[in-house]
Amino acid sequence: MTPMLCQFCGKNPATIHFTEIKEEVKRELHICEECANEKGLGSTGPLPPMLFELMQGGRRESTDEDLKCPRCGITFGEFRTKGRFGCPHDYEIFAEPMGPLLEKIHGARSHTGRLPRGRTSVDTAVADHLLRLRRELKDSVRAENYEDAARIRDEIKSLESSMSESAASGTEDA
Amino acid sequence: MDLSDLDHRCGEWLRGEGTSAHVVISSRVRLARNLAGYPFATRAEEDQRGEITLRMREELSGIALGPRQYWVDLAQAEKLETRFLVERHLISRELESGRGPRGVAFGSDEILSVMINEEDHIRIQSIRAGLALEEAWQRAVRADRALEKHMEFAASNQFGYLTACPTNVGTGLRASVMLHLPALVHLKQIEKVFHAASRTGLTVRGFYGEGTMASGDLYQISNQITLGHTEEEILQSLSTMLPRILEYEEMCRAELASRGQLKLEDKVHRALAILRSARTLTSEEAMQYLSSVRLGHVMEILKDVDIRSLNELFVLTQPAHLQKLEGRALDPDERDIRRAAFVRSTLV
Ligand SMILES: [Zn+2]
Ligand SMILES: [Zn+2]
Repeated sequence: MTPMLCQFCGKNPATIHFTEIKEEVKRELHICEECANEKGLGSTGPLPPMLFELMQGGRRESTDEDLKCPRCGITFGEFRTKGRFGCPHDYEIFAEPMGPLLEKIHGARSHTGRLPRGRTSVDTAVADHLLRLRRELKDSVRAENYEDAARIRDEIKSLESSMSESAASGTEDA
Repeated sequence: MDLSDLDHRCGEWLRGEGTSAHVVISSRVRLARNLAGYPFATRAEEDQRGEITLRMREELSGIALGPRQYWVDLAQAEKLETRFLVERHLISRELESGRGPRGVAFGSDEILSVMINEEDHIRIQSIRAGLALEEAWQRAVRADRALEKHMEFAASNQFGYLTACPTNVGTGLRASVMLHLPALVHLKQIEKVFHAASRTGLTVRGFYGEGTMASGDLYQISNQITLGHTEEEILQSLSTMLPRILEYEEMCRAELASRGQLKLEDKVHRALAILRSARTLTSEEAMQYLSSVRLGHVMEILKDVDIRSLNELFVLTQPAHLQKLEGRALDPDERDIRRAAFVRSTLV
């Protein structure tokens, strides 16, 4: 796993982590030692209440509202307005800020029922790859880059056929 | 697609038989599923939704949904036809009012239907007569498993089946029962049922689902929670709550009878007389008198009423059904005349 980067400078690995819970929404802040010293925050010092507001003013993209799914392009703020996610990947991207919401709706944050084909775990890597390719396809068609589009289409096709093969074999195992 | 076979009769779930049919009209199970590797239908491009619709139409033709099966392309269907499908509970109002590539496949007995590109790519629905949640669940899950063989559904270990709206995530399961509760309404006790239901994580809706008014004293009660409980636990939560509502309705029916049997008989016979003789009937009137006659039938005040015909009238007297039968659009006044004539000819 790649280390979490500092939310101020975006360069150094974050070594200091703050958590704030306000109105049932949990917010986290991860910063590096250098930035902490610069802002006058010792690793053991108290967290000024202003800090999160500071974050919102400074680098807005790092707050929950601006958290964006690289697959479908939806932001958490957009989701909050519409109440609908854009793609399955959002559940991974927004897992943190979504927690309190799921708690409110269901009184739970995780699934205990069936999974597809009686499997005990789900590997989302291929599906995720497909989502990314479809996004790239859309972008290249829009940019009138038809060579790329054709190549991506082929890639989608071969990936899809491998996916339905694995779906069929998964059934036999179950 | 020619749906004229369906004009004169309804799905088997309205047949008025089954467990606790004196109160429970039907039981329904709905499973929300999405194809992995695509954005959800609400955010997918039109051509992606087209791809999904085409593929699902093909896949669905390979699994048996009933004795015969229908596919309706809702992007092509006429407005009257889609309304007709809503009135029959084969599609949701959301799918009706949606745009672009979308469709529905269903069996001719109307037990199973699968909506494509509503809010989720796939919505499997199964309805059975009477209290039969387990049967409805089995039918829906069989279709679910048949589809699983050919495609990968969006799911994760932590969140289960992934859905466009977080209120459906996890099991994607919405189980509901349609109840006829005239005595609870009449004795103004229905609010208590709402409160009791919401305390146990259930919601109450009208005959045509979310946001619709309850008419004909018909109510749908369904689970609200889909995450953190197993499918069995969710079905169980409904099954545990139901006997208490049934008993309460029965108690109120007994109360109505003991307060004044003659008054009750008068109400029921008047309702039947109006349905058998009226020359115009609004939709609201029809639902209200049908409810009274149904109560009269289950309380054995009326002996010569066919329960299936009665149940079916709740659906067959809806606007799109009348217009489809007539083969043309009707204005509200014309509809009320056609409705009265149809009810008269059914309840001879
Ligand atoms: Zn830094
Ligand atoms: Zn997304």
